[in-house]
Amino acid sequence: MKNGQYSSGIKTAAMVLQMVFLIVVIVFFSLIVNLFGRSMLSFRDIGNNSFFDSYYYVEKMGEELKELTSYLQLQMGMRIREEDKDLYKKYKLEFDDGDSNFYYWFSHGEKVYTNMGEHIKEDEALKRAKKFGSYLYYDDDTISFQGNIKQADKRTEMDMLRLFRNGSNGGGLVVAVDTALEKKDAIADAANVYDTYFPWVKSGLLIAIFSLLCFLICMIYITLATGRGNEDDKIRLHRIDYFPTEILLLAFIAFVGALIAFCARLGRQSWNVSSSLILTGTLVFLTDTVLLTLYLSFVRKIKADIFISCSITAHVFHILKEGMRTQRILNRAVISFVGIAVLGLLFAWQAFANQHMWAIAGLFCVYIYLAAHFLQQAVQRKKILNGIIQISSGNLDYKFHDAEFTGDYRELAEKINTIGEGLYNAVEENVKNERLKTELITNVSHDIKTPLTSIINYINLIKLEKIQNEKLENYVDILEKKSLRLKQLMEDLVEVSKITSGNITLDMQPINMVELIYQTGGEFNEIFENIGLTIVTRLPKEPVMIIADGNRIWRVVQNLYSNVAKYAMKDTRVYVELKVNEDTAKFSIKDISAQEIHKSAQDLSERFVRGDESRGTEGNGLGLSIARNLTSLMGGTFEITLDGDLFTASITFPLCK
Amino acid sequence: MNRILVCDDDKEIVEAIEIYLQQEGYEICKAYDGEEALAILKKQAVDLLIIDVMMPRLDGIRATLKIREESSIPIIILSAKSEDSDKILGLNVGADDYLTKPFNPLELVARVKSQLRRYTKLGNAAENSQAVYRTGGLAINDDLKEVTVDDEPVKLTPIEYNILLLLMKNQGKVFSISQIYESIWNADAIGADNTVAVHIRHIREKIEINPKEPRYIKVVWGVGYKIDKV
Repeated sequence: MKNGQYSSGIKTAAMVLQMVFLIVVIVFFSLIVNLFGRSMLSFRDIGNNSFFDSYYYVEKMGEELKELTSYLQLQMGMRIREEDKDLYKKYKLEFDDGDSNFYYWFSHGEKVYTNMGEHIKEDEALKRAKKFGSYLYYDDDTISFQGNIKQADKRTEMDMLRLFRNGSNGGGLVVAVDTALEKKDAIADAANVYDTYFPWVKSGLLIAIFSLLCFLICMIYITLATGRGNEDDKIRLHRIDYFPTEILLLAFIAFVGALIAFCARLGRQSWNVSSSLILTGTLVFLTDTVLLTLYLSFVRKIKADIFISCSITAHVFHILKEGMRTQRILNRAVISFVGIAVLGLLFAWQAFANQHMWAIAGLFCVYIYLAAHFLQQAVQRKKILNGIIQISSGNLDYKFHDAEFTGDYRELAEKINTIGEGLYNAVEENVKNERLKTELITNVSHDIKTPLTSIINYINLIKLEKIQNEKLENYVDILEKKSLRLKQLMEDLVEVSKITSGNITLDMQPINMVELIYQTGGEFNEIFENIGLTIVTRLPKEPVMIIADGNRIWRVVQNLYSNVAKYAMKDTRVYVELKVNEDTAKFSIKDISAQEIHKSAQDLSERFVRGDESRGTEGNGLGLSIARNLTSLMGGTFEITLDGDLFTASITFPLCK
Repeated sequence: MNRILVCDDDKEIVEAIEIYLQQEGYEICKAYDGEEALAILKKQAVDLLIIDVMMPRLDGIRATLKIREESSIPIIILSAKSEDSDKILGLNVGADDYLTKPFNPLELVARVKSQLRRYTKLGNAAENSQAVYRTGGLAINDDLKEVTVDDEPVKLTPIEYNILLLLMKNQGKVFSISQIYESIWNADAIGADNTVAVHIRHIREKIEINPKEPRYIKVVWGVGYKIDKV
């Protein structure tokens, strides 16, 4: 089925067929119009076979009866005027010279008028009339006309009734037509014409309906098939299809206009049936060829989606648009503004000064354009803004769809997409690097820990040997201290790399900060006492609940306390405070630094940065970094402030409701 | 005389451990990978196993799994892997204790002693008294007002004793500082301070081998303290 359904053979056949069918339809149509034009055909006749049943016959009889009435009026004792003499002669020739199929018998009392022969009584005339087949008579009993000739015209009937007006009783009227039509007269001619054409009308109607259906099927097939081939789905265009759409449309309209004008001129002359049929056929052939060509071209254009793009308007529009595009944004805005303003003023002037409808419509269009323009701009601006908000809030893989934007906004969207992509890649790369770094540090730390274990163990063994040498004992002490610091350093290093790469899972629970501070205080109380630090604690009486990971928040607070233990000046006070604001809890610890701090507050919480630079003390510079990173991981903020030697570390968490 | 099998691919570490444990009077067998350890276990009766995780041929975790199919001797894992997940894995496959490298030799000795005491003595020790509370190697006899860790008596002050008793009586329950304060001092916790925390640290220092990694008194940071049922 698929194969060959678009072959050129079938297409050509379909075109020829549709042409044939169309000619049949149109020829039939013109025949019907022709017959209607001669009043030879009426819809009432469809289904009739006999001339004597047709409307055409009724019409003809109407004429005959009208003439008969006039003729009888002229005959009936009224004076015939000079001007009626010709008419009288004509009627006399028509009805009474014995060469007519039309018979009448009339009397309005004494005198009898008839062409059926002298001295015939009414009842005999009626008998003969009935024998002729088609008849009409005046029935005294019902006071109406009876018979099988249908009456078309009421006026003729009234005229006929008026014939009896002056008469006495015993008058009557009998009219008959000899259905054998033995004599040649107007009725015989009409019957002849009718019998020639009417059978064609009936069978022609069936053929025409069938042809019309076939024509439509052919047209549908051609419409579907045009431009398509069997090999692929590509639309094949003909040379004509590359003509601009407007020119083809113009040709179409011009041709149709010319055709209508030509037909109108033809219609003014009278044609006989056969020559009009030949003329119609030829016309249809020409028209169909031209219009079908244009129609199929439109169809192919629409299929190939070049109906609009391959037009002069589109070309002009394109050139204008390109011109605008290359202009700088500012120029473009100015040009657009001036154009709209001038157009608007022009329309407004015409609308108010001269009250032209077109100007009012134009002004309206300008407003609609402006509204659409501003709305479109606003929508696009909003979309761009939403996208930027998305990207800036961390959704780096957000992308704009170019198709949703026009003009500058499309360019803007594309550029933002590029920036977003760059950011996304950079962050991805960074995350990957951090993870690799953590893995490296973890692996290296495992490898370092094993020899470190031996070092620590054997230092211990040396100590167990109870060396009686103060110098050596001192050296071993240093070795022990440094090896333990190395151990701590390794642990901190692994931890800090895990935290900064986000490679940890948090177990978030409600935490009572007051409890935590007391617990921490308990752990550090003796360490602080030993170095002469006094803790001054100011805490609220009631629990202060936040959401955090218990072990991690302890690590933060612990780091802050040990930071104080390592760097605070001896014999000073340390202030620990917990302040509750509207929806946050702020923990802070303040101390006086033992040594002058050369670093800025921000540098202090960087990795491996210490206030003193000398590395003489036991810190390794990771504590504050760990504290800061853990705090932000748990959703808090970490802050360090320096005021001379006054060192303040604080963490703030949102309160848990 | 208890026999202890030490298994580590680092010979120096094995030797150092040997020295420490021999000083305490234990007999030592040495293995340098998991397969060797399994072979020795088949030939000899061993009372305790100290095993490393990362070793050639058969690692410590697999070795522990195999040993547990047949034997219930105490196993202490000694590893450089210090992640929580590593510890949980080790304890789940059947180890009794987990110690990270670098370790304090004295802590290792203490843990060995603790495991051995529980394995050889406590397992069949029967307590009749109602007033004895026990978790792992920690026991508190309220009749005698006596606290023992692995059968070694520990001296606590009255307040420390009361705090420990409170936690032992309600194993698994977390007590906040003010709850402890109110039940020990029978007074409102207004003006509570470090006192309870300091006492707890003191108890820990007395009953724990490594107070920084407590086995019995656990700190639930920001919530309180508890003793887990073992």
